[in-house]
Amino acid sequence: MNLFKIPLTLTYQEVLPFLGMNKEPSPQEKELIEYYLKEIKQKAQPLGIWKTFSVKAWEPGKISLENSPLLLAGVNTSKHFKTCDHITLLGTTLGQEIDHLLAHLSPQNPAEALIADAVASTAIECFTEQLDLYLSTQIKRKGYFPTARFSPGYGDWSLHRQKEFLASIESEKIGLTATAYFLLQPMKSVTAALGWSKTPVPRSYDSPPAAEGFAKKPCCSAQTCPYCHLASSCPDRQK
Amino acid sequence: MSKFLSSLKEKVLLGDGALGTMLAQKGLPPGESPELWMLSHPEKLKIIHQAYLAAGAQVLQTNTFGANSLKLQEYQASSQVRATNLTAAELVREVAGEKAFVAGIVGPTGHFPAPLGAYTWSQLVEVFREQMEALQEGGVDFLFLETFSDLGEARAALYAAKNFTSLPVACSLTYTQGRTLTGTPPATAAVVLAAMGADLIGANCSTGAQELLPIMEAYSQATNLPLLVEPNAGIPELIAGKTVYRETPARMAGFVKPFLQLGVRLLGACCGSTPQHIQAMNEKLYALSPEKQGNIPTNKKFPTRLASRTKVVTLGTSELPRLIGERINPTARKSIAQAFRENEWDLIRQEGYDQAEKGAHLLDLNVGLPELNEGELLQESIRQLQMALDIPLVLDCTDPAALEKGLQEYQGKALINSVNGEEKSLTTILPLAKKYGAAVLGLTLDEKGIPAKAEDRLKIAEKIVARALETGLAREDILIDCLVLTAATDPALSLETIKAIHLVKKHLGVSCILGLSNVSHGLPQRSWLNNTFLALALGAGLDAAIANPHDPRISGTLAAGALLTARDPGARNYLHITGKATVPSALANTKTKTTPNGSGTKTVSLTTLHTYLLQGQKEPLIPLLQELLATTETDPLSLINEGIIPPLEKIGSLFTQGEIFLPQLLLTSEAVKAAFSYLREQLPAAALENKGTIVLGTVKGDIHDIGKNIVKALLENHGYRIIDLGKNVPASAFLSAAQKEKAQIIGLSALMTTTMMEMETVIKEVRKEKLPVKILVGGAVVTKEYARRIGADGYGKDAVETIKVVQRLLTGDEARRGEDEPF
Repeated sequence: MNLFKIPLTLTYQEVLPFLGMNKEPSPQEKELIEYYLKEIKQKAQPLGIWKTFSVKAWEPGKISLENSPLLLAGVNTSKHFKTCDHITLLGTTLGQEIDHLLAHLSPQNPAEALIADAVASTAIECFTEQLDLYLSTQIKRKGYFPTARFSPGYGDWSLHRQKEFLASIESEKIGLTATAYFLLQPMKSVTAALGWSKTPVPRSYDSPPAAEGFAKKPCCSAQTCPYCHLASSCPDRQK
Repeated sequence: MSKFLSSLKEKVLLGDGALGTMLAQKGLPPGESPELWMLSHPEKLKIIHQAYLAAGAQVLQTNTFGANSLKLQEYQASSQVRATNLTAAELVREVAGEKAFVAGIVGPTGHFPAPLGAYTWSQLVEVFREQMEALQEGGVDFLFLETFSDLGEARAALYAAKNFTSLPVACSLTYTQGRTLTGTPPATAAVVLAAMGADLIGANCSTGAQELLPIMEAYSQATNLPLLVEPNAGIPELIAGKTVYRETPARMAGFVKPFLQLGVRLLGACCGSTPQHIQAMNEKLYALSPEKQGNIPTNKKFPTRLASRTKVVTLGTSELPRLIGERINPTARKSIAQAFRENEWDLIRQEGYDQAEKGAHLLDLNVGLPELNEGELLQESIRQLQMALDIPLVLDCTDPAALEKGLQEYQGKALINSVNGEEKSLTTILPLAKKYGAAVLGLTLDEKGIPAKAEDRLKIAEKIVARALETGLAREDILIDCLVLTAATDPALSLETIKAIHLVKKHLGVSCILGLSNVSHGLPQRSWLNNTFLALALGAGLDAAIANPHDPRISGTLAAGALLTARDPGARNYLHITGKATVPSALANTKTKTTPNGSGTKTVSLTTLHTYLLQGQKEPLIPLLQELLATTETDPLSLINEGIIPPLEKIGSLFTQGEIFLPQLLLTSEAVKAAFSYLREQLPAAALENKGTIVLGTVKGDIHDIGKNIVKALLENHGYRIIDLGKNVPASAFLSAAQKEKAQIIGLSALMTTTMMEMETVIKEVRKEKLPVKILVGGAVVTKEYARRIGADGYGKDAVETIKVVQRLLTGDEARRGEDEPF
């Protein structure tokens, strides 16, 4: 288990998908985006923490781990990690300062709040991606094939598992916790699992059917397409 | 020179391929330590080494990637460092004999130096030292630092290699998306590691050959060192359900020539590769005659280059003059001294940001306070600053012990400020520059003080340069400061400094720096003197000035001076500096925008008003409204109906059509809000009908409110009265607000699957009390099915749709129902 800080390198183009924009922004929008890119790069304290666990038992809908109370529950979750011997659980956050920045903006300036929020979402996603690539290199060197990231909240891996997830990685060491309603605190944070597969796996995932009561749009219940790192490969989004 | 290095000069050497995947094939259980397994299965390693030798490899690597105490600790085997490294080296030597070189592989520890990780410089150096000494004992020909992803860690490893062994060192980093994990691009890595004594520099792992070409290209532009590359190959991928091996041996061989053309002298392969890959590459290499193997000119001239972990800054005659921010200095500034004493790092970092914002290319860092430990303070300051900023630092310290601590901490190529002509200074500081890969700034003073005459200052400069060259520093890494005396005491001496710069540039050809502020000490209008002196110095060839970036004239003097001394081809920099916008904020709106008829004149008309609103321009709005009210015959109410409502509706439909997006929608909305509030003031109170009251909030347990705030802004613009309860709002609060404010609608927002259930609770409570209120729900997780299921009266798919739903709910107008609304 380790923790790191990685400095952020982000461009305004990377932010556009998080604003739902597929066109060049207007000069005003661009100026605001660049401004918040600078603010967030300055104020963010990006931190990551992870720990690797061996898989104890696999059955359809449920994977248990050695030395961790966390269950990787869900039909699609178990499918995603079917060929894995080990799972690395990781947590990342941009830190409290960013929450303060966003909270301060929200009520008075909706345009700036929207843009700052999108920049922060881009930042945490890119930071998580960088950590993923680093860990994937290590997984490959050990002769395994890294799976795509898969998080609580995807498909039917209930968000209610978040507390066991965080406990498994001792997330409080990077100041990452969850509220009673299972929202991550600070807000701009990510938890994700990376599998160590014995055989090659696609670095995307099959879109799961929505679970009972959840949003029945034709894709996963995470509902975060613009934010989802799998957006480019997700078969349902391509429809 | 070692046999390995001299061979590299004569020809390109072929390395070997992956050990990890080969070991797996030979039975290494997944997850086990390859190094420890080797101790009980040495014959398996020999077979692999022999296979690579037979395939044509001229360099064989030791199986020691994880053979350092931190990695072996994961297997409770940190006592096995010497055994694993010795065994591995001896095994390879047995196979290689005289036929191939033995590369002592040193991988990263998996831990980064502070501030990125938890280990100190000394701890990391110690870990590497232990491994490297064992490899040297085992008879390797050179040390090969492989797959490093952090420049700070690579520096520690390189330092250990250079200081505790006598072996040549190859440094190879791993890159994704053009940078290492911790943000270093290849050119920066080359500058920093070459300065610290690397003999080869390169890249390996993470990606295949194609993606490494631009990395090697960047390296070749940045250094004269021989390059090495080891791409991944042969790793299967699952694409569209099929297992595909993209990097076949033949494909790898196809990259041999392109790499050679970029200056690669050691070529191998990494994860996934096999002897077949090496064989194919060997055949290709063989087919290319020595001339075709590449005769890369290795005498590129470089200017002075300083670097942070992420950025290189150049200095010199061929470059633009640079600004070094002087503000972090406790002697000159009480507030900085206080901040250091009380560890107010926020303030120090802010000082750094501010100077960078104002145009500083480098920052001078001085931490000299008599009562504090300079070394520790320097270390901590560097840690704080280099995490926050990407501009390189100038370490303003002359105490060798303190400076050494700073140089260990600094993850880049620093400039040491300073050394001088005194024997003691030269013998203690110059070796530090060499050891830690820093450039050095020499002051033209010695034990006799600062010479009055320029010629005498030149003599000291000559001495400093000669001694620095003797120590092994490159000429471009030796800079001179001809020293600035206070004009108040003797104005004539100012010209001696200018003359001295001239002489140093002419006779020594090194970069020159000056600390400006001293010239104006004790005189009024310091900025006039500083800037004029800067201009004179630029005329004499100055390359950088240590000055106050907050002086508004400095950037101008530098830019104009660069242009006038022919250092700014095409005046590109000058034009850029002069055209630069100041404070970035769309609300300040300082840029000029085009008006409808494209000219600079403002037409007083409704069309102009529409344009300003659509573009979200707030500044010209109020004056225009005033003019419209005064000069045309429109009254405020008509102005609202004809001037504001149409663009508001237009922007809504542009958004629905996907022509514009949320940010622009909101910018317009802010402009509309400003227009509305001005016009409302002109109206009698009763004139504007209250279209309805809506209570809005994000439900209990949920703290996301951006969407809700957007809806609020738009609804207000459309004339509704909004009671915003904020976020994490319990059902009871919605109820009492609706009752108290006599609201017609309650709008609920939720973003999470774990909080959306609250919506049902609110609806139940409202129905129980039989309140005559309609309930509208929205948020990323909400769908119309869910809305219907929980008994809501309406569903808002997005902000603009929500307006329509509200209108429908309030007028009960069925004709307004949107197409995909079920109810």
